[in-house]
Amino acid sequence: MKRLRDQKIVELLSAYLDDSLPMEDRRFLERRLKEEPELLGSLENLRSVRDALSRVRPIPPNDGMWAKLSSQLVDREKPLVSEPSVRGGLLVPAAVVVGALVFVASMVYIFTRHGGIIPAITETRDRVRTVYVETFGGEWIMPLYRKTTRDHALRFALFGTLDLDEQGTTLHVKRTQRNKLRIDLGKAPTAALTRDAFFRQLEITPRQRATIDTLLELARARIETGVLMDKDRSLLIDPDLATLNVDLLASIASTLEPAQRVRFDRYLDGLGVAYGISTESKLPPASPRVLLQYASAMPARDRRFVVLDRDGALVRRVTVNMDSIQRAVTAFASSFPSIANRIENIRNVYLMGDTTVIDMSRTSAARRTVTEERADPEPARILFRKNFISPSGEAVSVIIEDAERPPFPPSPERSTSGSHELIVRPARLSIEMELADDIADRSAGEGIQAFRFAAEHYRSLIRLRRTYEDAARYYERGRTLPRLPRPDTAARPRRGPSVFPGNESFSMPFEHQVFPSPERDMFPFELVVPPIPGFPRDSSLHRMLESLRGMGDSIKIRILEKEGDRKYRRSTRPPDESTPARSGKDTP
Amino acid sequence: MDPQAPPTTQAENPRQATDTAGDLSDDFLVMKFQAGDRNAFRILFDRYRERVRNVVYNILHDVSALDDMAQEIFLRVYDGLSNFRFDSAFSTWLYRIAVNRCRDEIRKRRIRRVFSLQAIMESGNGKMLSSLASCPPGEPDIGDAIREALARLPDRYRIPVVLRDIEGFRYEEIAQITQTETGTVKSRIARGRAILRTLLSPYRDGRPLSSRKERKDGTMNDETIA
Repeated sequence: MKRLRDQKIVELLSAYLDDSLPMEDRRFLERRLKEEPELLGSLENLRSVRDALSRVRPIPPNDGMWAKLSSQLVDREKPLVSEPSVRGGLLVPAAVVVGALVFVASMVYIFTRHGGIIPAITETRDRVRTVYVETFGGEWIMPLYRKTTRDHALRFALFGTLDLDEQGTTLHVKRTQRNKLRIDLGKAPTAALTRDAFFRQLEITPRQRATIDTLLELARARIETGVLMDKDRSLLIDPDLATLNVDLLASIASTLEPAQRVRFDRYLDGLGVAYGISTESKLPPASPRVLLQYASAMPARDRRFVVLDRDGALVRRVTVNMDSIQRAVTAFASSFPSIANRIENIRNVYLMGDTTVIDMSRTSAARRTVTEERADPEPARILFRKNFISPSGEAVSVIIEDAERPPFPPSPERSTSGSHELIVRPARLSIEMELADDIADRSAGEGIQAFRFAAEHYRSLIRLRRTYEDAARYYERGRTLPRLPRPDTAARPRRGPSVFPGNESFSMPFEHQVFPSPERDMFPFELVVPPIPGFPRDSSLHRMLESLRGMGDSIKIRILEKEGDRKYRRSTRPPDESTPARSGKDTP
Repeated sequence: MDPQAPPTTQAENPRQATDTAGDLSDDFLVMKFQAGDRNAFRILFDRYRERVRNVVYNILHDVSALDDMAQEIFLRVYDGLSNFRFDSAFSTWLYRIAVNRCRDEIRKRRIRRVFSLQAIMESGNGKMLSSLASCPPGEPDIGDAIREALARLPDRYRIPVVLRDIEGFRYEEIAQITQTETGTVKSRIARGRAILRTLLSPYRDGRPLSSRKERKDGTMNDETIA
């Protein structure tokens, strides 16, 4: 009995030395240690033994081991299939058949034995190593982030943003709550952050650091191939970047011990990061699993990209080979404009003449002035939103958000000439896409021409405002409603070298009338469209009109079912002179 | 701990120069090996070569067999690395192979000793018995004394003590390496330390190590704990 008791005490003392005693046992032992000097002596003895063991000197190294080992390793590297014999005509095809069978068997074996591991690794390796040149549109493409560091990757993990310039313009690819892809180009606050500071803050152990560094290295390589730019300044964005940072963050978090996770969560909170870490007291998974999961998520070499250019947003399959791209960049460095110039071009997209609606450059003097003049405490609003369904099934929304309210309804001071000018405002361009699971390859002219449509509809918006202004003047002054031009074409997007021409006139591509809305608190005016012969309800024209409904909170659109519609009849009649201007009471 | 990165296929891809740096984790290197990069094995070998040799030495206490054993262990690692499923850390797996190989060797030597003892009994050569039952005296140094004491520990205690107090593994990792329960590991480490305390106490008092309660193979019995 005494021996068992002694053994129990020794185990307690030993575990106490290793700091692995449960709290209750620890308190019990510490109480006894205070009371029993003999026990304390035993503890010190054990401690001295442990310390002596930890100071055992290593044996002298043997640097010649590799030479001997490598010769044995060479013997183990046997080819899968021996070379076919040149003797006898039948032996060659037989060897080929056997070889093929061995190959198939090997592949089946590898597949069944290794599941998804080998493919993921092979893809990763191919992406990095295979020498295979694939260009985009016959021109070179280059990585926008070819000099990213692991620090960048860490910031990307935490904030999801990638710097586009030194003025704080960032690219943010994310998933919306409705699982749509959203690409934001604009200003986003991110804190300066380095790995060293991060590791210090969370007291990362060397082993954890090795794992996290590997994760960051994988992410860095992924970012490098995730955002590309071609010679025509198109921006190619890997939609998987939307989930990459969250995966990375989760992977980093899963390498942490529970106490570190709590610190990590607080740390993220302090930085204003939009993500939180679950602090459930589960043991972290083994780091290999984390790496494996992460490596398995590495993209295929041939994958789809969202391509943004001056004409629009479309989805294309692009084969990315970083080796060949890197070589091209090195070989043709002199013919490429600098990244800074490219970004300057890409982030100034003009939708309509001198009206810049997509311009992230807050640094220009003009923009600063406008911003200061139009300081508006009201919250940001969507200036423009357009939804598309592509032929292959992607739902796309182009959204232009403005931090300031646009000048609508136009004030008398601002509308003096019958045509309304939009003031230049800094805006954020967002593109939301609902990507189909499987898309077919398409040539350059097809796909989603989001900007092209956006330009058309934005012009329509401007035109509607002008028309509204005319209508407002009519009701105020009792004048005849001006005759609106009839459309000469259906709602077909304009084709040409550019869809962003300067000061180009346009007409509404359908007949319509504009009236003050009876719900003018919500909709300042109402657009009424008569039935359009030959265009059924599900036609593209109607879809376009439907899309106009979502164009802002200032327009209400009513598409009439038939010619005899009361609203249409009434709307085509000159209003009663006694009708109060813009009161909305003249409409049922 | 990490060695310098050996030459690899950097000529093919300049970026590989950073990839093969010593700060890459074991698991990433294993993945690279499984993806066909045989140079990754060299990095792993360089990283663990001396640690494995030290573990083998601390378990077997036989310099002559040390490098052959280490080489055999790394050959086993090389053969099995393609099938490594990341169910544990690479280092855990590597040490498991090393420990198992050492156990095999100890088992073989015990059998050999039994045979030898029989031969000795038959020949009546008592000198050989004493040379097998005790370690060489060596220099009066605490390191030697500890090695001598370690050599006298039964291997079921010696292995976890070496892994814990010399190699610095956690209880859970030792349990994985030795394929036992964590509670058993704790218990064996405690008992191993207690035996060592007993073995080293005369040394602390300035006296040579005693050889009481030894087995025929030179290890100590459990009764020394009490």
